[in-house]
Amino acid sequence: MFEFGMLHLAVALLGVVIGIIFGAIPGMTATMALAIFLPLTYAYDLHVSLYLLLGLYVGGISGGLIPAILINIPGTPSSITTTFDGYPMAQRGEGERALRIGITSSLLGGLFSLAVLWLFTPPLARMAIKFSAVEKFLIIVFAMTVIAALSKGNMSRGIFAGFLGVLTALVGTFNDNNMIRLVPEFLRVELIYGFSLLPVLIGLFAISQVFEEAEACMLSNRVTGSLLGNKVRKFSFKDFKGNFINIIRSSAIGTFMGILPGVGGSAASILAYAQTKNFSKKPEELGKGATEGLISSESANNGLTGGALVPLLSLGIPGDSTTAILIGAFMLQGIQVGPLFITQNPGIWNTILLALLICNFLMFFAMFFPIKLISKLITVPNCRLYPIIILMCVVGAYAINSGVMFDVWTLLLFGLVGYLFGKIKLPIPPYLIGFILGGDLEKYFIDSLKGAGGSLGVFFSRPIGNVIWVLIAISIIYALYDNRKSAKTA
Amino acid sequence: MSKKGKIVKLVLALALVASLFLTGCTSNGDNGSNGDNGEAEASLTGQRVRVVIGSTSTGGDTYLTSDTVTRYLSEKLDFNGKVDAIGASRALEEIVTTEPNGETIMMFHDMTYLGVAFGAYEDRYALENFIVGPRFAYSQLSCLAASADAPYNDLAELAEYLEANPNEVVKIAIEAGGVSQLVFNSYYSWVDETYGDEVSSRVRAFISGSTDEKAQALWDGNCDVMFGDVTALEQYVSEDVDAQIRMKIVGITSGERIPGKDYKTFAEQGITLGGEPFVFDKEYSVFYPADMPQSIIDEVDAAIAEIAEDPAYIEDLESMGFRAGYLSTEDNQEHMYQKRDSLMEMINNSPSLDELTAE
Repeated sequence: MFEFGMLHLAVALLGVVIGIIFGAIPGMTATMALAIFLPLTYAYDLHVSLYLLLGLYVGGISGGLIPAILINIPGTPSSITTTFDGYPMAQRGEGERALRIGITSSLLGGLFSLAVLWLFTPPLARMAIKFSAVEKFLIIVFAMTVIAALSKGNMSRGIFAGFLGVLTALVGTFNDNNMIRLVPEFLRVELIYGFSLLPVLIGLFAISQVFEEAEACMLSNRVTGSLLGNKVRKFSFKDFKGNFINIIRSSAIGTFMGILPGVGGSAASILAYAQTKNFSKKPEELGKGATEGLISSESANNGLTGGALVPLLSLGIPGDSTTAILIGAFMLQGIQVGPLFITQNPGIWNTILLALLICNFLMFFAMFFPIKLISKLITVPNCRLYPIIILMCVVGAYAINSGVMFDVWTLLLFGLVGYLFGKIKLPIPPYLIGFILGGDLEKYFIDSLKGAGGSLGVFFSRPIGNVIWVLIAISIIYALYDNRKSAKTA
Repeated sequence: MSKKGKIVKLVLALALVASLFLTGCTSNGDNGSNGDNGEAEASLTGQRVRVVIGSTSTGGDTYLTSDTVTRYLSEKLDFNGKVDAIGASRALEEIVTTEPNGETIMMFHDMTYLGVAFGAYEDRYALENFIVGPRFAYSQLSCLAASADAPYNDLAELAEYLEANPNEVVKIAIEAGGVSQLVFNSYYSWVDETYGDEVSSRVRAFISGSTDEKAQALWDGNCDVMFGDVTALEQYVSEDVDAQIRMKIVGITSGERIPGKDYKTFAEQGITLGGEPFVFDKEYSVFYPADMPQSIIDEVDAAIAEIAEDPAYIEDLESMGFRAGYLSTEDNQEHMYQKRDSLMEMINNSPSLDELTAE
């Protein structure tokens, strides 16, 4: 009923390890890893190919936590929220502990989504279809409320940065009439598709950090010296105590966001983080190295993996950009994925489930045990580390669209933007969240209006939509209340 | 320095020297010339060839056909070919700016000229500014599909339905600037000529993206009909599929029916363009930068002519729903220019996207 042997295990391990490396290098992603390895899979049968590609997928999604925690640079867009608490923990000297918590959370999120994929694929696919452009628009608005939660004590600046991010996302071609907007004449060719996400992300997080460090002569120490050594808190599975609901909620949000086709995977960890903050007993500690924030982010972004396969294997619609590449693997082997796939190909379906299970455990073992070595990265002096980071960022930015030099200029430009934001005290995360979600926000807003003949009433006409409106309202009210409370105590 | 440190440094230095040596061995200093003699005829043999395609998808028709022919070409001509899915705009920019040494070629379909004809891309990307090479595959699978419960079964009935129901509007999901816009415009023009502008004004374009985005718009109820390929959409036609996502194919653009299938062609429904039955096959071709050495063009032509006869290549394409169909560079140039020119009148007379888009 499924295929498994030493060859399958070997290619899965190869895929996981290469995926982790891709995820860990800023600018390289799971999507890129799959795109590079896709043509190679033609030489193998589909089962072997699936072990390799799913290994790359799981490894690529998970590897992003390493730079996010150790050097405050999200290796992948879905690791942004991992930096919020992972890096402060690493600064306290708890890098190894943070990595172990992150990796374990990734495994739990991956297994949760696998269980959902295995047990509930057909009904969830039916449910996903009920989420029209209206609901997708509202979910993105809901995810964006994290901006308010993140901007506590500085709300107007945070919201302004968020809107600026959305505006940046609108640069490029407006698909409905093929007109290019917000682009100077001399950059029409380079910016026809707008700014690429990865160079913007790495520029804002990595290059701006390098500029700041350069200003300080690379002398700052990323680890607080007094906390180094034996006093540092060690990892224990007890770290997960009291986080059961957090893990389930965050994994469920990640899986659910994966199930919804067309809603970017990065939104999963953002939404999960926002909800963890809303439900936390100590919300003020999130963003300062709280384990629950790290657990939430990592379980959500690995929860995405199984979720994104639900619409792919039951509707023929990829759940995210990475699973979109998997369609190519099936098509190259002459197999159509869609509503009849599971019933017509039970052997392949079982292989996918088994491969995903094995790849999740391989990811765990491949990352968990060499952690002592990996976590030493944080002790490397800045003057030695940053040149390597710049090199990797430039290579990653150049490679992300198969060799577009403008992406390297984008990287540097947004490095400068991030540096200037720091100078004028404009927060970067809300800007980036606005940029990541802005494109989908506009698309689903326009699609909803087009479908409704231009009536704004469509946003209040659907029951699921109205439930999401209530959640949005609660989230905003809570953020405002929290902001006011902290302003009073300050 | 410790002994261990010295050994590590020595190993790293040796690895660096070895990698430089290997890089030197594999690079092509002669820019496509084959052999030691700089005056030898240019060839792709032994080169790294970047095949850029006009799509960013690695699951779509352009990638699948291009990747297949690139694999066969790489083997036949002994080069290292890699397909880069960089999208239409970037691929066109590459082909008009890259050096004509065989390191970069483009593979794409009819959107190469349709994008310019529809104004989606600048005139400097017109066919005249690069070389149209051989055709290596084609697809007779372009179609329009509607929800299974739609009150019409084909496109002719759809027009009659609109005529009989003056309050109804039908939105067709297409992608701007490509084959789907051409098919939409052709149908719109035919409705306009046959039923008048009152009816045609209620045939609206719903601009969307990839096939899966169009399918979601159809399932959402945001559009009524969508453009796609039979291969991708046929699975939704089955009786075994949930009613919510079930579709029916209301017209295919090829000249004849697909053997064993019951899908009506546009032509047999009486849909015409410029008085002639509307027939459109999507064709996939190689494109070279201007001034590409004739020897490279000739060797690719000869190789594709042989590959197109290879049963394995034919089977690979057919398993994905495409057909192998070789046209030499000379014949394909004449064919593509003629095809473009025959469509220009309709394209020029069509309303703009702003007018055709659903309100």
